[in-house]
Amino acid sequence: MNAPVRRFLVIALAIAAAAVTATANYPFVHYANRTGPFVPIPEKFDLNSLPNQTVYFYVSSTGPDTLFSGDTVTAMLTQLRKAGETWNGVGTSALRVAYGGLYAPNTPQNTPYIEVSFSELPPGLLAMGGPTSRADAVKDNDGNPVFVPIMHSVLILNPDLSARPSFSSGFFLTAAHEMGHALGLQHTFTSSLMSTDVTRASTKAAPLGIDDAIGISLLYPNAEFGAGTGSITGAVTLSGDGVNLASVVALAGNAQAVCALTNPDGTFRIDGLPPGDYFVYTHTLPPSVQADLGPSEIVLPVDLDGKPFPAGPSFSTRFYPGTADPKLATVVHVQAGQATAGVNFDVPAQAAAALYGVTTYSFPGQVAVKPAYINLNQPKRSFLLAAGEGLMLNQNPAPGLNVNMIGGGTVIPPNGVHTSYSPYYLEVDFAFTPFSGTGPRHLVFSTGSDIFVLPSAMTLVDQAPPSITDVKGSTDGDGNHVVTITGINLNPATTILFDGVVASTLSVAADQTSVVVTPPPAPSGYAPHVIAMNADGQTSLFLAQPLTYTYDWGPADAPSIGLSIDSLPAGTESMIEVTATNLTFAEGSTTLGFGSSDVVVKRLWMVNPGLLRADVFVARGAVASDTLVTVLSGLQSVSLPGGFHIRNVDPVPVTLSSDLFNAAQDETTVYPGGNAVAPVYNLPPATTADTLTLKLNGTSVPVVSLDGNLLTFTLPEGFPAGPAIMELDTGGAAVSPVFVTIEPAPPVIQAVLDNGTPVDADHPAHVGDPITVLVLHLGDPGAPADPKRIRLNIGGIDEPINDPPQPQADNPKVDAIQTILSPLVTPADQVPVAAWADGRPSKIVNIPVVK
Amino acid sequence: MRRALTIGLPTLLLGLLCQAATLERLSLDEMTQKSTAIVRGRVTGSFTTQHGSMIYTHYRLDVSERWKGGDTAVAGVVVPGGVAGGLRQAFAGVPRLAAGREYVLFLWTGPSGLTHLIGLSQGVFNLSRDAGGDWTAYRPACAEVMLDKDGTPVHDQAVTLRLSDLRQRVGSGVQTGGRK
Repeated sequence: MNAPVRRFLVIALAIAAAAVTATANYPFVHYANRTGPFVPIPEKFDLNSLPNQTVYFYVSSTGPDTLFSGDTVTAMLTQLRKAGETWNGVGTSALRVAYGGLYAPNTPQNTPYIEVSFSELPPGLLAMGGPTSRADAVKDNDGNPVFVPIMHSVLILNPDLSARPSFSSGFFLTAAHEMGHALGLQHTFTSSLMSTDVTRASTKAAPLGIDDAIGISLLYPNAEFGAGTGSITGAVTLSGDGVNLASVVALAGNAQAVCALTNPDGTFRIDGLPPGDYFVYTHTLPPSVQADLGPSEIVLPVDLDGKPFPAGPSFSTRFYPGTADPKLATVVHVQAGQATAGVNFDVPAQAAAALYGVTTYSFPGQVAVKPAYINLNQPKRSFLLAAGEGLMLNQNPAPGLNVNMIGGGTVIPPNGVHTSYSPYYLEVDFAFTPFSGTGPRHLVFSTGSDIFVLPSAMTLVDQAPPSITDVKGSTDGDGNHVVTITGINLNPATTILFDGVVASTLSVAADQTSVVVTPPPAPSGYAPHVIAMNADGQTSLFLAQPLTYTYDWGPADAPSIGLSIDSLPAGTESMIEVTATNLTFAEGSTTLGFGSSDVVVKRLWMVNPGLLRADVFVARGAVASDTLVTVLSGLQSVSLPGGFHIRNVDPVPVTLSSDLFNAAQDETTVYPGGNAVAPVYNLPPATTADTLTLKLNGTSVPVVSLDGNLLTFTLPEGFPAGPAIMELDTGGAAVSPVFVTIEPAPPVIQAVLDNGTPVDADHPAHVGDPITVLVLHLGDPGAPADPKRIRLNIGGIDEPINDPPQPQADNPKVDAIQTILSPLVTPADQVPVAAWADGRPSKIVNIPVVK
Repeated sequence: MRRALTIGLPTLLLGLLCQAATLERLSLDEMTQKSTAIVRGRVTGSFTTQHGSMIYTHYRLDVSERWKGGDTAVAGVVVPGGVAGGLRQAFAGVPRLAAGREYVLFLWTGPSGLTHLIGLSQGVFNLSRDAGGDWTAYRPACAEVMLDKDGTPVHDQAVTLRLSDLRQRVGSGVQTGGRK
């Protein structure tokens, strides 16, 4: 008997394109008092105590006890590295996450870090992760607690990985999810990476959701976070009392959801939302399995004495302004730079959630796949299966069950909700329309007594997943090894993985049936698993287990490495050269680690496939010890136990730092023709600038001044961009050299002309007029710049550059970009203009624009 | 066409989560088999210690019945997380045992000598007396759907048994080696 189904006429909400949506995901929270106002004090890493604002994660050298058949420790390490670095790509987060190599157990480490270990876990527990924080909070200048610093985090994997292949989505997403906990995030309820696996809609190709990006950005915001976004605020109450730990979700029709949990007084704030219209609903969290645990296993917020705030009572889900029917919901409009306040809910009590924990599956091939990806062009597979608490009763849809969709263009036909051929699953059929479109779609499951909203219940796509049917090696005309991967839906945006390492794509067949790649270096006989991942989130794992490629080339003997310097005092920095035997350093996939968070590789330069140069810094508080040196490069790994020695010496030698900065521009980029500042530590007090000699690549550069420990020098015009070895001679004991990066000078907008007339307050630019932007450092002096390497943006609109910018006759270093001022530019007194050369941005110049 | 589709998920999709930690669902018989000890006991207190980079909360138990394992009057069990040495370590989903309460606990002692709960909350049964004065063992359902080893979704139902029935079931599982 089929459950009644209503058609749900959906409002397709257009959401402004922006990387940032909002909110507090949910960190580990403290509050300063028990009476309010309740300002969350999160646990997070202190960026000021992290080198380069980077938290490194180290994997225990003990490794797992057992691996999946055919799996290797190297493969597992490449997958862990990739999973951890998932969190490294959030453009609005200041925190960087990087793999730091292996560590030996009991290595003393003082700098905050994340350890990945294979410690004993009881049966039934496969992995866990979480932060270790100081018991007291960091305070602001007024004495208010601001955050609780995470000292280090642990991520524990069960040492028995015999049932968990490292190439699997499960292994990867579990590691990335637990890494999120290690960074300070708890669970969210938006089907993103930090949701539990049951509702998670992430894939290996698209692991992070918008809610995850916002969660990490709220903890570690950079200057760009929040620009152009708005907020929603309000409160959830039950019989007038605030409800603690209610989930409030902002849902746009064809985009991912974002959520926040309420404070003990029921108040909430969802930040970072792109302007647009949202459904907003609030729901109680699934119940805890134990008393004294937070619902849905959230770690309860605590006060500064560690006493928890209990969760509020269970209540029925409500859409704003207070309806159980999403068709009667009022959309909430969000504007940039504003908080839409007063989005309040007064919810009815409910004994317990009857509907929750819904998982959805689709069938891109013959086997069920989670998350559900449905191909608009595969009508015979236009359905999904759902399992969850409260959906089925006695092998039939629960009495009164309705399923509705939020998200445009696709409908559930009459009788489209019914038992599937398996009695445990509900089947939901879909009918596509010309307006269906691709992207996430959300489902609302409801009975007479409860509602469950599943964000991103399915993702609509317009092609099948990529598949790989053959992997074959050969050599090109120059004798280089290449691998041809044959299959379907292998397009220019397809990423090919060899275990956890991305292979460089050389060519793609026009019919998308093959890709030729450069395989990462590996030892002879190594057999990585090959996976294809597409930009729509689908992977070749949707259809089949991966094929392998066996290296019939590469070194057969064991690899080894050598260090030019194997010992440094704590508190110093030096360049160290690393040479390799039977190992090829791979650009972009080489990690050098020194087995301790107190020894940091600040910068790595692959000079050639056999030589690395590294700037290595040993923290001032590092304990004298021997550490494990490791290299992971491509699919090669090598370890040097006890290969590096930390010494404690007094006094600490003079140390030259590679942290150059450009004082004139208040930037870290230094370039020829300008002054740069290098910190120098532990100089004798009587040192003056004229006693110092500074060289770059063996050439002396003018020392301008010494102010305290800041040495200012001039980078000569014409000094080649790129890595440069920097050496300091104080006339005393030798100072370890470091290497720095000299950047090409950034573009500088010198003038903007409208029809040849300089634009100023009296002569505004006109929309539609020919515009000339004169820019210094756009390309090579005297030669036309390549338009493909240039970008010009006026008022938020990228202007087309059709002709190569030409150097000016009176100053060949200045190029003229010609364009027509777009009619899309909004006239104003201050319209920003910026130029980019090879991705290097200019400072913004503001001009008046009129119609 | 649809009847030919396989509902069983490929093994590469294993690793289903319950709670924040990644859990694998264990049946009662599997828990019986994998436990090194199964006890009925009352929590008498707790303390925290640091083992390397881990903080553990130790619960002292006054054991009144031992259904599996050696013969010791007082046992203890650890759960990860807690506050020690000025540090707080938190893992979502870790159960907290209440002082004075009685439980049936499925325990596993690892190579380190520490005794853990099987599957975190899966190994904890709350004991209480019902209206008739009989002892009942109750374990709430895992908050969300779990998958078993084959990847088949299973609904983790709340388990409510008379203590005597649980004792009998565990006992027969111990005798038969935990066969399903």
